[in-house]
Amino acid sequence: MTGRTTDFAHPPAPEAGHTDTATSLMVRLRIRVLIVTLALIVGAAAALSVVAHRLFEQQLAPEVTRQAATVAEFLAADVERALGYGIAIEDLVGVTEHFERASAPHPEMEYVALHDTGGKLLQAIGPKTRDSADPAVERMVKRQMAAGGTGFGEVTHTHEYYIVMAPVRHDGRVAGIISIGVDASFVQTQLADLAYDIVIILMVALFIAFEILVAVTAGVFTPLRELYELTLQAAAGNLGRRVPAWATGEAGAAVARVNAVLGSVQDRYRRIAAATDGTATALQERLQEIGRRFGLDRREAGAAGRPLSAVDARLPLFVFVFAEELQKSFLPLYVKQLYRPVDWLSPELLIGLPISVYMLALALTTPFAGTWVDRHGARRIFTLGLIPAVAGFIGSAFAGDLFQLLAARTLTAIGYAMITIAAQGYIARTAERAGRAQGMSVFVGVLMAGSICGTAIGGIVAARLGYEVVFLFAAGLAAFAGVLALRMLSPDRSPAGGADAPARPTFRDFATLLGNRRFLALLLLSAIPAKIVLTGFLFYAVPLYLTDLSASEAEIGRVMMLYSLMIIFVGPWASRFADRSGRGRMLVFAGTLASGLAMVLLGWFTDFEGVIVAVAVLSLGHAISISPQIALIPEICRAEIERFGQTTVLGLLRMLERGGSVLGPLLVAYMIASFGYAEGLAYTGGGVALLSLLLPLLIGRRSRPFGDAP
Amino acid sequence: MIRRAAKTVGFALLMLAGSLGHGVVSAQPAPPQEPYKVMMVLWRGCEDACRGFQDYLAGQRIPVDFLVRDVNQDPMRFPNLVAEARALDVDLVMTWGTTATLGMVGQYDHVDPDLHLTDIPVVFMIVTDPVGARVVPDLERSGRNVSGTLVVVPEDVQMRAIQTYRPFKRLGIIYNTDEINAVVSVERVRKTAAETGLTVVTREVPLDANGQPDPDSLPGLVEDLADEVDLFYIGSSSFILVHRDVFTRAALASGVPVAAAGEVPVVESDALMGLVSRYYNVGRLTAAKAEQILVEGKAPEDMPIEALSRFSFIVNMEVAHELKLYPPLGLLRFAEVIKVKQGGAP
Amino acid sequence: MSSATKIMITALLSLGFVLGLITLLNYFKFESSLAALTDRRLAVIADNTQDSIEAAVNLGLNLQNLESAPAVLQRARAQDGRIEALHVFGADGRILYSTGTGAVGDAIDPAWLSAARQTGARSWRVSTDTALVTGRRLDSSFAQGIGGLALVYPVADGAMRVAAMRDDLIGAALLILLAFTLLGAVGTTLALRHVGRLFSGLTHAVEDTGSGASGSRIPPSLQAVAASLQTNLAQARDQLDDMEAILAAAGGPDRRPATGDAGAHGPVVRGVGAGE
Repeated sequence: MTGRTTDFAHPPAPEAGHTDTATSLMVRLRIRVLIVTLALIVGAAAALSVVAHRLFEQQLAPEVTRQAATVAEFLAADVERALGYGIAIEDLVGVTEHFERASAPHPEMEYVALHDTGGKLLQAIGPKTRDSADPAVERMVKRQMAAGGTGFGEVTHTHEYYIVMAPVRHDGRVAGIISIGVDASFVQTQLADLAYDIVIILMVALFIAFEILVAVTAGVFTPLRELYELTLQAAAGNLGRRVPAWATGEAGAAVARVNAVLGSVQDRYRRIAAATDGTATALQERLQEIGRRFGLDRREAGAAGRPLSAVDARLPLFVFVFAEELQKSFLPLYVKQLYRPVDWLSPELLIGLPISVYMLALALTTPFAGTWVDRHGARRIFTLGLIPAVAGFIGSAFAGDLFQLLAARTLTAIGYAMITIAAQGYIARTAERAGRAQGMSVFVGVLMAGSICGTAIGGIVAARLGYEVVFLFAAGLAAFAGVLALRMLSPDRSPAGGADAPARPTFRDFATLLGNRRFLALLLLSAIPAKIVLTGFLFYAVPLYLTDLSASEAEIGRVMMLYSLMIIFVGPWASRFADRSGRGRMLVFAGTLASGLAMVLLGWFTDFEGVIVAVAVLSLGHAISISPQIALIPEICRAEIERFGQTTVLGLLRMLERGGSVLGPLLVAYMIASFGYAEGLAYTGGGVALLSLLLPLLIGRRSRPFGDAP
Repeated sequence: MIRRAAKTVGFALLMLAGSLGHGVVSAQPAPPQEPYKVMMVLWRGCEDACRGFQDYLAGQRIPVDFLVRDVNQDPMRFPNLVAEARALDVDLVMTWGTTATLGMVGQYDHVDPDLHLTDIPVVFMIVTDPVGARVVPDLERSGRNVSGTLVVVPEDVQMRAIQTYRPFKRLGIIYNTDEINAVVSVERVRKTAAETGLTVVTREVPLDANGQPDPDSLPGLVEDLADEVDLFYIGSSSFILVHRDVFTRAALASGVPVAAAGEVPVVESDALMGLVSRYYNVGRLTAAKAEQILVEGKAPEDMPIEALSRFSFIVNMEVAHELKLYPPLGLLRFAEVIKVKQGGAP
Repeated sequence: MSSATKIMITALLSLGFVLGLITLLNYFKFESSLAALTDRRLAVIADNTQDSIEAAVNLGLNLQNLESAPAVLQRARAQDGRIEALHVFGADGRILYSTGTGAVGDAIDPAWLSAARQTGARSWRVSTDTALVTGRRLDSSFAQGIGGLALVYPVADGAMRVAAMRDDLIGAALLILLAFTLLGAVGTTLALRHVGRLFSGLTHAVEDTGSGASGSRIPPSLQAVAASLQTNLAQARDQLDDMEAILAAAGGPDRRPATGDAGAHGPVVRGVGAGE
């Protein structure tokens, strides 16, 4: 508070200062809004979880004890049979083994015990065996005996257990008691798995809230910031500006009023200027003096229309990517479900086919999508892209066989290419002032946030409602993204072939670039293997392998989500580190090596945890290597960049590495078909790791001029 | 055969519907079924296996006329029975025991069509070693108009069953070397024992002055071996089976339990336990083979010769009490407990 | 719509999304927990009944004439009063013994029979709209699948409990949504009170009419800014006034602007100017 007061007390003179003050105020306000939202959501989630827990306990606890009672009665019958053969209760043999076997399917039974009629413990099993010798239990047995054994079947509740008892009868009398102690916190344990899902939902909700808030608050905070900046400038003596008048509501009214006041001064100045035309020079000079003094001589543009803003594209893109990523955790499982054997391809390869075909369609559509966006504008291509995308989702939901699914996924891929390229183009066009790199980081950030949310929620929904429902849900969400796009994106049409538009790469460009040995090494040893690992291992093998380890779709979604999380949170750090330290190539090498070794790990750790660790290591590898990989391009392709421009070279790298995306599922499927999951993945990873060892040799030299560049 | 099979099924359904007193409305009344003629060639009367055979077919509601022929341990009567079977045009012949089976069908490489049945299907049971006795060359496929069932429980299954009673470590076997069956059985036990971590200790029965195994030596042998082992095992040895009372009583006196591969030492003497093919169930299994031949029209030469897939674990409670060596609680669910004093099992 | 309202609606949408999903998850979890518990308990009963019947069959009895079977089934049924029926059926699918009167002799549901035959395992399970059927294959000592055991458990009871839980959860979620909506309204209003004040403050800082009352509407933090802004405005207007006066003197009355802009603001400017 004091800080802000000081700012206002001494209105800073330089314009940059105004912007900073205004921006930091807006950031504080936004953070405050986010914190309030977060607190609300977490608080409500916690409250609902507590209530649900209560309800569960009420309903499930009797069910659990009833089950224990059933087991107790059958065990009592077994002991009765033995007594019937003339074996004394103290002489029973193999009691613990038998109890063990009977209670094995019921982990909630903490102990199973046999007592004599005095309550003395004869035999018992379970991790909490000693507790069954508790004097309290003994007293309970005695009480039951005193009551003539009529109270059996009732549940006794201690703070740690529900205890159920069954009498062992022999010769018409009670000869002993079976008691079973059920973990009183069993219901809690049941709910423990839910905790993960709830944390995931909270996280997803925060991402969604953030995206919506960014869009909503843009209508409030942007005019506020502009108004504030304007006021500070006016206070500093510049009266010549106005605020773009596009906002509505409270903000719009304020903007209109402020513009009216300043506008009147500006209008008067202009009228006087018109009137002084052709009058005495002294008069004109005096007016110019006034104009300079109050900044009225400059006419600012853009006061009327709404400027394109990167924010416009965020929410529609987020919602669409969310929709598309819903299928990620289970697509191979869905394929498996539709799978019918064909004689020309092994089942593993066939199951990998949809991912490969999708990647291929994506790779082939992308260049065209770029042209279309240039020609018809981002808004139109974004909304047109929804047609194949939604058709693809619906087609996927109703696909009757693998080939119908392939067709549907191809449609979605075409839509996905159009929409992402449109959004990218829109953001790139708006980001000219702030710098394209920042615009692109917004774009990638939204992709990753959408990916996290989609993968996680898709898994949860699929686990409960089935795959088809998820695709229909995706269709609905994508349509909603279209509505958002129509409302939020401004109509745009850039001059075709603007200065920044990259020239279409020609065959000769490819040839020249592939002639660059270091570029070729980066492509073949790092970029393509990275994509193979991503689509082959993460997208194709992980869902199948985890299902083999009997994981649910929700769990698979959680594991796969690790990738995007890592890219979002570690990626920027790695990229800054690479920029500062100049150790980009080391990160590329380490990251590629790590992504290979991650899969090698699976050769040894073949359980659920092993897969989690492998995915985490792989994600870390990619997070640290992907942006430094791009940063290396200017360095190793200096000559080519001078000839074709950086955009073209990067575009070519992207296009070529997509080959890896297409190849990935098929290659990994082939390896799995030949060697089984653990070994097939380990060999593939081993190959990637071995190839990466060549990287330092082939691109290891640092070229000085660029190394020294800032 | 096929027409007949169809008739049988129709008849069976009618019987079923009728017996249950339900108005299952048949489209047409089934034609009267002519019963199958099955000759049963027995060695020493109709015991459990024989009854199991008959009960099974009755239970399946297959109409059968049983022609029971008990030779009363007289091997001279087989040629007459072969002739009679042909004369009566029986549908199937069942034989009990190795001698009766060989008497009716001969060794597979010495068949005399005048003396042995070749034209009528034969099923045998209670033949200890059908391949060794040359009844069939192969258990998978007999290659002749003969099929049947096995009665011996394999040694590895025996060893595993014994271990479920208690984790016995040292197994004692007493056998006589002039019985090939016994020697082979000991070899098999040694092999599976090595895999399960059992130690096998053996003693051979000494011969008396006449060169015959000496039954009087048994108590001494048992007592001698009792110090070294914690369980005696009786495999397939006719000598020990004949002298089972002496043997099991001596073991009991030394406080060492006896496990047997057949039901007789447990049911009739003082062995503690046995994993056995109950003859009754063997009879039923044999009847199931007969059913396949009669009703389903399968050819005996293509049918495998099988043992029961589940055996009975018999526990002699009197001995268990005496040794204070009770069966574990889990085993009681499956075991057949015999010789229970007072009230008996629920 | 005020900005605070917009933001509040966003927060509430997110809140609704989270509460909705958590309700759904809890509901599914309850359904699956209850089903798993019921399944396991029924499995205990079915397994024990299967053991008893097979033990009798292995004594050499025909499945068709097990005298003890009805008693075994009744005992099993006594374990849970909600069990609808237990049946033992032969390989042909006809019921041989049953806890239900009159069921004996009927054919079992073909769906059960095909489930029993399909699974190679010893247990099978069929769930229909009305009942959950837990099945066991019965084997004899030499033949597999001499018959089967079916335990029929009505789903109505479980479905009712699941529905009750669903209603309770939805009720709780709605109450919590309501409570947190109120909290959220307060929260966003508090968090955003500056936004509204900034807008009006900024407007007033620019529009300041000098009437005295408006001064109090400008937040203290903005007053210095407002003051220097007004000074600038006043100076600009004064100088423009001068220019206009000079032009009017030179070019005649028709060159004067038609609007009363200067007039309207004249006193203000002077007022502020006088204040300085």
